[in-house]
Amino acid sequence: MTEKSSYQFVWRWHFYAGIFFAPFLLVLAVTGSLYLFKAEFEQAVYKDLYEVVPQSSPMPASHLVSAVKAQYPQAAVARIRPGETPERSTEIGIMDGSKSLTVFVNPYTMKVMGSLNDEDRLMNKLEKIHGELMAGTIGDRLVELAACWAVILLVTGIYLWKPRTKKRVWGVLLPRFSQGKKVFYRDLHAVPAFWLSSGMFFLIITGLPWSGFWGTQVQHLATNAGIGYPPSIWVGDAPVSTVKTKEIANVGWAAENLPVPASVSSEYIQLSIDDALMIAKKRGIAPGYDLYVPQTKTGVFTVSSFPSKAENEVTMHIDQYTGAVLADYRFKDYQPAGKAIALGITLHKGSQFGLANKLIGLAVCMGIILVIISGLILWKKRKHGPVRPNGRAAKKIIVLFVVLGLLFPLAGASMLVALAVDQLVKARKGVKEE
Amino acid sequence: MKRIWFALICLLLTGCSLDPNAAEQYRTEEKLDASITMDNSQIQIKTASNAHVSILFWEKGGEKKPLTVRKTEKDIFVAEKKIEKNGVYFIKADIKTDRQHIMPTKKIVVGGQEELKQDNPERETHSHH
Repeated sequence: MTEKSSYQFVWRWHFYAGIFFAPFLLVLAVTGSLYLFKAEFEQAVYKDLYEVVPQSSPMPASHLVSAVKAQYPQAAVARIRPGETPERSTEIGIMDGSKSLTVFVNPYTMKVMGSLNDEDRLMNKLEKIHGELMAGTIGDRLVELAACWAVILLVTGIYLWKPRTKKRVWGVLLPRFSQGKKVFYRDLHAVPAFWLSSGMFFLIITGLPWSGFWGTQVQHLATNAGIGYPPSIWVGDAPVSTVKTKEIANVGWAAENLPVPASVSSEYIQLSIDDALMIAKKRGIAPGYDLYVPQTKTGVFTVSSFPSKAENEVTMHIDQYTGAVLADYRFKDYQPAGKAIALGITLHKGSQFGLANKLIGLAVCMGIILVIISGLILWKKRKHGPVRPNGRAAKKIIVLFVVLGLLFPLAGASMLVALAVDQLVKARKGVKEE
Repeated sequence: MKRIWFALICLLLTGCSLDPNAAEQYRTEEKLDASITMDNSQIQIKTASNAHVSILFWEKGGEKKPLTVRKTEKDIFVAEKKIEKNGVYFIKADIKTDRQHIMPTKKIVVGGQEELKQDNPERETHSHH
């Protein structure tokens, strides 16, 4: 009895969670499979903005900034990205009013080659859909909820898939083709889902550290415990620049040498962009990084590089007045959890191992799409919805749900909501039946 | 059971904020700072005693010139310089230790209202050869 009601219990949760989260997971799989090829796509589409013909030596970055400022006199410079190869243009990120633009400059001729509104870039849009359904915090939480529930779908799915009678191959490891459409669709759902389960689990678990609630909590815990990323890479503020007050002396200073009684004011000025870039170079950071320019008096210059391989990541903060390196974090400075998350991210994005990595990611995404579609077909073809189990589910199943709910509090909270709704439905049905 | 809930809530709450001293558990950098002061004949740099210091001095729009630096006390480095007319000047100290390299720059505005008015954010108009 318990075995049967356990099965019914698990199937019911799998069924409703599947229907509810299928659209979200479908969006994640489609946008994710496209985003894997971001670098290739952008290289092809923005070729005219990216490529330059190398000449003897590039101009100092400050000159390139001046060239951009001449075209956008009102804009504030936020970011400079020296090209990673001699054939690549320099990117200068500016805030022009409320618009965030990337201006591409030829570092040899100082010619402004063109600009892109960051919001309009297709890959940025895809990223926004993938991360937050273009709906800000609410979207972020929904994606996180879908990801957490995807874990629950995987766990419950494996429970449902597990053969109960004798050991067999067909319908477990291989789909059955000759036993009618229903069996075929069931197998097209369960068999690939089993094969891809570890890949799907990997994508979910490596994607969750990005999420706004669970991810932020985990990152805080790891960073605070000294086992994660150093602060300011994911969570925590960057160090600040030490501001020294402006000194003004109104008394005649060196008056005897000067035609009129002088007033003297002195203050420390911001490091030049060229010096900031020189510091990055001296610290051995390969071009292709972004140099963020401080926007406040206590802000810092930040060198940030998240290239395709996690082991080449850099986050470095520089005092804007002295040029002192306040923090210089590389992959080797990440602690074990930080290293694992960082590697997970580059694997999730498909950049860590080049094309093979992307193709594996793509295969898993395609598999997810297949599993979702065959699942939806199964749902459409169902004779009846899942029955409410008569008896109680086995204790270990309840414990499993409680553990999953605690591990993913957002999913746990939604489980409680689902339980409440279920009780309401049950009560109303009970009244009707009387 | 209550205790477990309490512990869980604590965990969630503490998880929300970052320990301000968290950075100390990771790699830290040598702290190096310097102050630049100038009186009517001398530029003085106060910084770490093990530092190597050089100084560039220039008038706005003019050529950057290195000054001769001597160490007077263990953390004080001086260079002689007289400013003889109103204007906007820059002193750039280049300070190196084994692990840090800083280059604070101070702008000095000498003169009456006219010079102060010219004191706009623009800087280093003539540099980077």
